[in-house]
Amino acid sequence: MATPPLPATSRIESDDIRFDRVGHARRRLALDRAASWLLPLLFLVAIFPILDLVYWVSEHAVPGFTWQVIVTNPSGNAGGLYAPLMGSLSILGLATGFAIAFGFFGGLATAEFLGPRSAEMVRITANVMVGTPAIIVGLFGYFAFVIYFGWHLTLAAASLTLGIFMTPYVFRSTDLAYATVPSHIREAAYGSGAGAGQYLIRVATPIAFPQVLTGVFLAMAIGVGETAPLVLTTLQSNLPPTGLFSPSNALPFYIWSGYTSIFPTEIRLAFQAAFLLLIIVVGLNILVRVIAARARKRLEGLFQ
Amino acid sequence: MPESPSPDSSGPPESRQPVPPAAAGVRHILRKVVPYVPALIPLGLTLAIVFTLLYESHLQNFGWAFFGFNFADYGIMIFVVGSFLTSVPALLLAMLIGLGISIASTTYLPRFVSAWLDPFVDLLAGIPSIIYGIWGYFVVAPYFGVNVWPWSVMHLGWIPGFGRAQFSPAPSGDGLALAIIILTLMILPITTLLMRDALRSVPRDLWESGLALGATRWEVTRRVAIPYAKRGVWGAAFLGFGRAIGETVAVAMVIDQAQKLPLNVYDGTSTMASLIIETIDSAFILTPQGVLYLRFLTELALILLAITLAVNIAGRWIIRRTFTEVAGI
Amino acid sequence: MGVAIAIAIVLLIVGIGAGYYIGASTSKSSTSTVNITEAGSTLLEPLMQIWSPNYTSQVNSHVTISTNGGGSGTGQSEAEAGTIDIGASDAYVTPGLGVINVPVAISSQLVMYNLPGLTNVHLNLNGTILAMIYMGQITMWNDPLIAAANPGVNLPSQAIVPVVRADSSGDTYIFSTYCDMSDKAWFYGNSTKAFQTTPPASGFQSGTANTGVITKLTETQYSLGYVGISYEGAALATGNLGYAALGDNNATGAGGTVASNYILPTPQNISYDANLGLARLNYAVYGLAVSLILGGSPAGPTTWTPGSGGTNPTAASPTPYPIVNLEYTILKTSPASPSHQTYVVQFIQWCIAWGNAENYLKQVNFIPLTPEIAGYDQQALASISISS
Repeated sequence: MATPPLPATSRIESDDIRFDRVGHARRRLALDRAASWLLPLLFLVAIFPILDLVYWVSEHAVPGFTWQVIVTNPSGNAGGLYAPLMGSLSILGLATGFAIAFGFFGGLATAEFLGPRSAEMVRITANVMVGTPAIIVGLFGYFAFVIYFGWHLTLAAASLTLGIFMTPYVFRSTDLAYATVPSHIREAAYGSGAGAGQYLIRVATPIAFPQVLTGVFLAMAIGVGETAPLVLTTLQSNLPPTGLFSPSNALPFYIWSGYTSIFPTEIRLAFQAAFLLLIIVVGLNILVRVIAARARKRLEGLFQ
Repeated sequence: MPESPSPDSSGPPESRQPVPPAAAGVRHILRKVVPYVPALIPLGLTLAIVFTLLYESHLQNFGWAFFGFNFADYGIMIFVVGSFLTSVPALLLAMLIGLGISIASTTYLPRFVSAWLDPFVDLLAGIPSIIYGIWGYFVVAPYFGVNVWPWSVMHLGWIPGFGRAQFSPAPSGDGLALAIIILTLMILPITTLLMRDALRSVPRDLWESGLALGATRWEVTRRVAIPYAKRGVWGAAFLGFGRAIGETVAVAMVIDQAQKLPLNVYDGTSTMASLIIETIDSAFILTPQGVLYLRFLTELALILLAITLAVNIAGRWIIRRTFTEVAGI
Repeated sequence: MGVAIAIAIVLLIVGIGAGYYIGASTSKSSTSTVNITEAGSTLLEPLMQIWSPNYTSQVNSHVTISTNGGGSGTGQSEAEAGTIDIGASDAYVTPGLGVINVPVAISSQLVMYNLPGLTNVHLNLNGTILAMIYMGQITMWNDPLIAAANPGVNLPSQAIVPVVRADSSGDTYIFSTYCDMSDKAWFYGNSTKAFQTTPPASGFQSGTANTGVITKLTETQYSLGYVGISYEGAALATGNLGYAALGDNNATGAGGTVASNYILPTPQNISYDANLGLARLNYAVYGLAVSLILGGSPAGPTTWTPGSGGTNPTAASPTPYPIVNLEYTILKTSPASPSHQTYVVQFIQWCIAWGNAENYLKQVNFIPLTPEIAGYDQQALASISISS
């Protein structure tokens, strides 16, 4: 973090005088006390919706949620969620592959080979790409893969589109992971005669890997729930994808098209799809946290 | 389709890496140039998106009506205004709540308590927008429609936009206000995390000198920490806005989609993103109008992209040296 | 250790994706399940959802039909592109694009309103009145034109709130075609002319999907809107919506609407219209391209000139229920995989012959195809190049 200019000292002084002039110590302390009680209450704004959401989704999904729901294919307005689940996992797997292919080497190059100024620019482009709305990536995927490449509405088009959406996340975490390898370790490696390749493979990667992994999981957690890129790039199929160029269902897509159905069975399945999606996403998020905490602990050790 | 531009567009890298002295010739080029190419992937992809959309829009000229409010004449203003009407209030709310949470977590709560509470905020970012959408549609909307909106009409009706206008507030509860609330939840993590980071970066010395002068924690926060962390706060505002304006699915599900300006906060409207996802089907009809509508939507997408790019570049420029990777922000 | 577990999990998940294909591609030949993809019209989707498991269980257990919504536009363009096997659409595709229109059922639309106290009274409305309401020319429920059509009904002195579909929809297409046929001055409003409408009338409301329109109608008093007939049960279950009896239109438009015959959308009336209208279909010229089945009009020929089809009444005849349309499947004439197409054609043939049985159609209030149309369908299907 760059040090932003300090607030002018004169300002603090004048404020200090104002503290004095406000005078009433009791009132000032009361304000402080009030803030100390009220501000933490704002956490409820975040905590309550999460609990309510998880509770509600579970409440509607768990009754009738049997093994059959997971292993049966959807059929008409009923059936199960096997195809959407397998579709989601397939799309996720392939998209993660794409995102790693694009993002990992990009981040690596940025962290290891670019000078500080150009790395800065590249980081900004990656960060800006993170903010690209999903629907626009979806529209791009539709034009580029569905139309130009002629892949139609298939697994391949959907996964590549989602992969592009996930790329900047992997890119940034890779970049961050390699850029924060402590400089004394880097210097020690080069100083003891290691080449760039040796340094990367033997020294930097073992240190950076957990963090890269964190980024990959994070990208997966974000990618698996994205709906907008899929709506324009794949079809819902009753069967799991049978190949790269076969249509693939996906959990978020199933919810998107099922929630306004006239059939209660289909709405129930949409809730159950939301439940499955929630489990996957929360699971990935917990995994991210665990790995990140471990990586941080390890990194702290290295800094000593 | 434009691929990654040539590597030299990034300029000669000012390498300060302890790379061994380079050999001459092809090997030199290989070594000097090839590693930089992957670094241009984000730029390349972004440019690919921009140029693909530009190409596909065929730069169709819809005339001045394009910047008008009449959707029937291919006017986009309803949706631009709708986007701002949802994302600006959501941003303000998320900034206020986020500031409060980040102050509480950095200043008032013991470390072990905030370590338990902070992940909830991060988790908000992890929940897919489609789940916010169905939750908003099936749970929050009915509750607000039955309990909150009638109350708000009665007690807040004097505020312009909160009163009854032409029709009663919808018992189904979805509409502009619900979209704002759901959006607030969705961008709360990004604003909170960035501000929390910024507040954490306030040097301990500054804090302690403030306290030593007899200021309360609240006063130090207000007069020292927040001014110090100003950049983080501004960055949070820009990035939060960028996120809010591009949100598609959740907004489309709860905004009570309507191609018009809202009459009051309970009324439906649509944003640029929600218009695209809800009406893209019209663009696929095999008629000349379908083709034209696809170009219209593509141009709308370009405008949305331009806004998000500008906002994100500004935001990232402001906080360019912070690394915030948790929760994908 | 933790890292190793994490790697294992990544590999597991990526592996599911990758390894899945190996498994799938090998198992594909052994089970030889044929997956037919259908996408498009959300109006036809519920019926497809009913048909598809029944076809699999009763006719050919090796064939499964994946049903998608997406909308009629998606159905048309994806069928034309060959992405899907069956495109479902509420509107026909202009001939000459390598696809054929095969109607599989007859659907209809209700005009519904939320008028407290008048829920069980079927108001008399007609195309001219509806067009004028949506154009903002009739704004009050007790407008003289509405009052003239509803003698003895105590109409409230309240503003009408027209409700439209916010998303692209074939319902909008059908409804606005009806308005267009009824009122020369009809202005579709929207850019796409067909699948969306933004009425110039101020204070309109809109809902997403039919369920959204029903919700909107339910919660907005004095509103009026159009709802696909599949949703009749859901709409009437709300308890405060009534539906209108529709009459024929005066071709001269505003002023002297004198229709005396107002018809309710009962199955009998809808089939009557379909039979009357489709009997006059000029198959030789227009093929199966029918935007709206107009059974007749006592006022003689309507002024509407269809682009490429339609069952425009050419002479005065009794009025049947007017908003009736064919639900199309769009099929490619030269499909990429002719052997696969055999199954598609078999399925469509089943839909036309057996799928039009009452027990399927009744669930979504659709009407069976008329015998002529079923015959034309067979002719059209014959033009698809299939080989085994």
